[in-house]
Amino acid sequence: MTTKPEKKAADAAEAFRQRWTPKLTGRLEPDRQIARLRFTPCGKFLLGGGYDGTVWRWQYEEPPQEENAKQSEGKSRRRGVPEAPWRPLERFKSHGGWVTALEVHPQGGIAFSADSWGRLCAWGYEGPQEPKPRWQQPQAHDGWITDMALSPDGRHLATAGVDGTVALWETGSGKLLRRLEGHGGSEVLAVAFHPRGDAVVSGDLFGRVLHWEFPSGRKVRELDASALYKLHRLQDCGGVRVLRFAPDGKRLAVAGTRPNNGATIQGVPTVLLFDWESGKPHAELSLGPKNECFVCDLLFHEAGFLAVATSGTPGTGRLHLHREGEEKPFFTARGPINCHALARHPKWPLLVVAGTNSGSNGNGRQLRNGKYVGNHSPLFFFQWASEG
Amino acid sequence: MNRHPRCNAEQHRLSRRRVLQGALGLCAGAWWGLRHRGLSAAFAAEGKEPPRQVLFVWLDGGLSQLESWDPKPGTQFGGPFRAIATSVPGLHICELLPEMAKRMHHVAVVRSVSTKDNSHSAGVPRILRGDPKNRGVVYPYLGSAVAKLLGPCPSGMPPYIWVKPGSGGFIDKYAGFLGPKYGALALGEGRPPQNLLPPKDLPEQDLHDRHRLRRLVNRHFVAGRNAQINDAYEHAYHMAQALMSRRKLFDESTISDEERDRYGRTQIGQHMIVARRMLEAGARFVQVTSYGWDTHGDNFLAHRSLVPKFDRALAAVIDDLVASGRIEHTLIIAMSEFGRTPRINGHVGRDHWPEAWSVLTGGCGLQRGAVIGATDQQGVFVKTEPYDIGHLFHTWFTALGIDSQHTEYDNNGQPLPIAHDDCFPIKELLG
Repeated sequence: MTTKPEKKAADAAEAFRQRWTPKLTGRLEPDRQIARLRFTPCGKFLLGGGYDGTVWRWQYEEPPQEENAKQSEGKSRRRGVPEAPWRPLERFKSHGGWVTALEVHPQGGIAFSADSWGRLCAWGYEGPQEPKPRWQQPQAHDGWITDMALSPDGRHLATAGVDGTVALWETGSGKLLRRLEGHGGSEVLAVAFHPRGDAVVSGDLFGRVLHWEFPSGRKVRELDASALYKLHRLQDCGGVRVLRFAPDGKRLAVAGTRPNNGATIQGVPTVLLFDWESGKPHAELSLGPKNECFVCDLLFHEAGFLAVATSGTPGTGRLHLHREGEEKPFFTARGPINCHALARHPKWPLLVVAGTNSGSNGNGRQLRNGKYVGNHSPLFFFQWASEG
Repeated sequence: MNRHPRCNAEQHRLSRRRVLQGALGLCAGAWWGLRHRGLSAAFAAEGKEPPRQVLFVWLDGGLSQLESWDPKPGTQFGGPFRAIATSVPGLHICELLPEMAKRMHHVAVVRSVSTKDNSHSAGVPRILRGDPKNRGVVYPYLGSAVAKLLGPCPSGMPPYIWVKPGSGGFIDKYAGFLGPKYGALALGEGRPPQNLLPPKDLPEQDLHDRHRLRRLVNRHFVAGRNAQINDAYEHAYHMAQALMSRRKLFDESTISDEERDRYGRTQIGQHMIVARRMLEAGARFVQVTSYGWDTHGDNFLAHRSLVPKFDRALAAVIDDLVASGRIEHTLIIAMSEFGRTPRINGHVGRDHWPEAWSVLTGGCGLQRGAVIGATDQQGVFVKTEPYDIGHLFHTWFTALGIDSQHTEYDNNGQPLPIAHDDCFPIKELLG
């Protein structure tokens, strides 16, 4: 029998769920796969780091008048979802390999992008022409730059690489401030700045999270996220794939998978929440069955929930909204699958997630109209009624 | 007593155990104290050509050609990695193979391999049997084929040794119509068969008596049973004898730290050391298997973890084969059952791709530094003459001194070609 306090709590949870359940309002169809997404602070541009070595740009356009919208509805809808009103612009093409890290200066105007061949670029994202680098570091890391994070004031940038280092840069000049080498050569897969700007954290393949004092670069302590790592046969599996601080800086989300096996990797998509002050884990979120595998991206919403993008066996992986303190997500989107990137609009109650087309896998020759076609990342635009 | 020619499972299990136990116990003393002598030195002293051998590295599940021997950086399906220059001018391979990049002048890569099966269940046996024409018989795997066609080396070592993760034992199921005798002696985790050494307190005379008893029991057991199976038991017994004479091969204390580091302190690295020792001791065909290469998910970080370990181990064994001169008569093969799809799936993985993939091979007179064939700009299809596994079998048999187009197996009077009738040796690889 339900008690009064339980009923009250259930009613509150239901009200929260209804308040923060978003609606799918739009969709874009870039023809390549997207690894990272960011909105610019003005909210007019959306940037996407691609597997094609470019940064995609879209600019917001006012939707047409209501009559025009009705007329064009049939043409622009895809699976019942209208095309999002974001017009593609010339891409930024100075990268090689994959564009695997992307951030935008908090004061706007400049984007920072990094690729899997070790190049780091700063460039202006506005204007219709193909952007050119303001500065670039062709060998910022020896190989794959896996992640980057901006300091809250935008003056510094931290990058993480499979070369086992974290590098700190001045965003204005591109000058290397310091290189941090405490991961013992292990691939560093994620990096984040504390909202106060006095600390950087970096996470590696073996589940070690290092806390560095900023700007001195002194190693302060190590947090244990080794639950996100497993050696299976010959393969080192998992690792810290995402690091995010809560806006108040009191909690650190360390995310990846609890690996079960390598090769066709399986594992439970997992977020470990650490109390920043004590450095101790205080919660663990398991976001799906073991074939859903990785948390690929996440962000904290100040209303008290996490938006999490997961991806596993083709066809699995979702956008989950998970209220802290609850056992299960209060919302799991039905549309997107194999989600790899998230971005939240700075002004509007809007969240965009990069998924993957359906039927993305399959052995052997699978031709469409006689051609061998690659996969792509549809972008799904979710909207809340309004920000609370 | 049931005289059925094929004994039942229980008889089979017990009898084999008895035979092996007897064999292991009985012969240990007789071989005690014998020392291994290097084959090359022995043959050089006798003015003979050393026997041809095979090192076969099997990456089970499917190495990605794009993350190894045939990178296509900067293309739609190229993945995140760079290509690096090698010791062969103009040849670039994936950055995950820095050690092999320095040694590509010793070996060759075939980039135009195009096979038929995209599933493991069909692909593995088909590839390992050379995909011959269907004649209603089960062909042997390559190791069994070489064991049959070349026989054991003069060393008396087992002709077909398989260094693998997990358990070991005598594995006869891949010998096909050749019969169980041509199966593999599997060294699980690179370790010798259990109970290789007799108990220390067992007197010599007791060993001798047990030996006599084993022969007596064996004669009784054989009557009315499948001769092939008994033949395999005897074979296993003799293999055990041969190994007992070389117990030091398994003495891990004789492997230096430097050697372990050079090969890499990984499963494949340490297994490769065992494989090299088996070759040095005179095994004809040594297979090293690494499991876990079926990277349908997280392909790129998986290959970043896997490939450098393989790279280090393979480079180290090639260094040793070159230094000892053994590469002149040791055929090297490193391959999987297929490659991986150019297309990158939603799990950031690559699926199975037999259409266009690569095999590394070398030694035993094969062209050094050769690059055979090519794929198209995106790495999707072969743009030169495609080579099936049958072509590779012909080429490897030829390199081993076997006339692949005229030699036949004799399957109880049925002549069978040793490789696919419609295929032929790859001339540019043979030189």
